[in-house]
This record gives sequence, C-alpha cells and structure tokens, in this order.
Amino acid sequence: MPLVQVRIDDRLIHGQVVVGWRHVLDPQRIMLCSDEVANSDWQKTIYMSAVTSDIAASVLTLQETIAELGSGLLERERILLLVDSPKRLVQLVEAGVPISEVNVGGMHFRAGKNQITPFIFVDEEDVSNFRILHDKGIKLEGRDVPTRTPIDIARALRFEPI
Amino acid sequence: MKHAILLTHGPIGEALIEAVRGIMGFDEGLHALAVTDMSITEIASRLSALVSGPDERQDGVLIMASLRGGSCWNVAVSIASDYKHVRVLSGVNLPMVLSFITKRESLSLEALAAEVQHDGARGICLLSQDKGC
Repeated sequence: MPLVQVRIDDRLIHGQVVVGWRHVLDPQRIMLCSDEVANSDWQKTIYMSAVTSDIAASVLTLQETIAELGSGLLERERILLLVDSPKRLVQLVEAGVPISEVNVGGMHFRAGKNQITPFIFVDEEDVSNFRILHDKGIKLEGRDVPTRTPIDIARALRFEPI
Repeated sequence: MKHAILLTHGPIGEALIEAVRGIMGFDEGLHALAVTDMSITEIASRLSALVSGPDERQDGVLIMASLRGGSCWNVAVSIASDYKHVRVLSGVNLPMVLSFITKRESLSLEALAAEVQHDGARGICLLSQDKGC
C-alpha cells in the first residue's frame, strides 16, 4: 500500500502530526527520516517519546529509511513518513522510494528564505529540489493542518505544468 | 455532537481552545468560561446556560475544570448532578481537550470522560535519558 502521507515538516514530530493528521489518516506507524536525530541518542529518545505507545514510531537515518521502506514494510503497515526538507525527499525518491504526493506542512523562517505561505519559507536550494520532485510528476501540496485548504506549491513557485 | 466547557481560573480555557485550533484546524463545540471575579451564583447561572444550551448539547457535555476543589469545580459538580448528560473532569490540560475533540464521535459520554482522563494523565511525562516517557 502507498505511504499514507509523506510530509515535509522542520518541526518533525509535533502536535499537528501526532494529533491533527493522525486523527484523519490513522497511520499505524510514524517514521521520521533524519540523520541528525537518528544519530543522537537523546534527540531520538525525545522524538520517540513524542508519540504515544498505541502507535508505532521509528527514527531512522536516510539509509535506514531507504532500507526499511524497501524491505516490504510498506505492504504490512500504513506509514506516515516525515522528513525535514525537500532535499531529503529528493534523496529518497532517487533511491527508489515510491512517492506520488507530498504534503508540505512546515518550513519555517530562516535567514535568506522567502515566504510563499504563512508556514512555508524557501531558499534557492529548496526551490530547485521542489522542481526536481515536480518534474518527476510528484504532487506538492502546502497544508499545515487537515482542515486548511491545500496550496498548490508548483503553482506558487510558478513551475511549468507537467 | 458532544460539547465541552473549559471552566477555568483566568483565561486558560480560551488559550487552550486557541492551541487546539492551531493543531487541529477546528474547535467546534468547545466553550471557555473564565470565572475570574465571579460570585458562585454567577458562575452557576452562566454554567447552567451553557450546559442546557441548544438541543444538540443533549448529546453530552463534558465540563473540564481547571482545579479539583476550586470554586469552578465545586459549582460544576453540583450542577452536573442535576443533568444526566453532563460529566465533570478536573485538572484540564491540552492533551485532555485534544483527546475530547478527536474521540467524541466514537465513544459514549461515559467512556469518553474516562478516556479523556486517561489521555490527560498520559500527557504528563518526566522524560528520562534511559527510559523515555
């Protein structure tokens, strides 16, 4: 079965995910792909504890994520996959992870980034990674919480329609 | 649809509802009543009006008071005893309100009150390096 949601969110696992989207999508597992978190015992403990015990959680490096998703786990579980940036998604897609749609839930302000929605700020690298995803036919939706009207990221960035 | 009343000392209830909106994107059926500087009689009459409001509230009303033993809780438990469709919990926190709003459709009022209590307690955690929560 397909991933129930692939989400870019620089706050990683937080309330909008563990309560808001979980309520609507009912995933069996929340999978966080982040080398930075997966390589720190303390950060890993924090993010694993952000999820209540009645749902499975994984915190994995990029390579571990690719291996897990390629191992048949997708056939058995409804997974919500979280990444911190468009760049990480390009790496996953180029490694063969099947992704057809991306939810962009939060890319917050940092110096040198331009705002395209109240909760999405991008720099040139983000835009070029979004373009790579768009050119592969992947739908890019900006939406922080389920009840919000989705924003078409490709249109907001003036990409040519595929 | 079941409703909840956040009956609190100061504007905690309104702030909790604002937080729920940020997380869920909706807040239907949540009401806040701050009891600052109100007499017991006034709290009671405002609460009664909220509890017995429009017909749909007959589906159930969960009052979440800020402090067990506080004036808002005292009034709430006494009012609840007059209505079959009202339950009262104390110690309201954000996990409780989120639990209420995500589980109210699938549970009876009785079961929902118990579940909200459980989720509220589970939301309190002293994170430890080796054991997590």
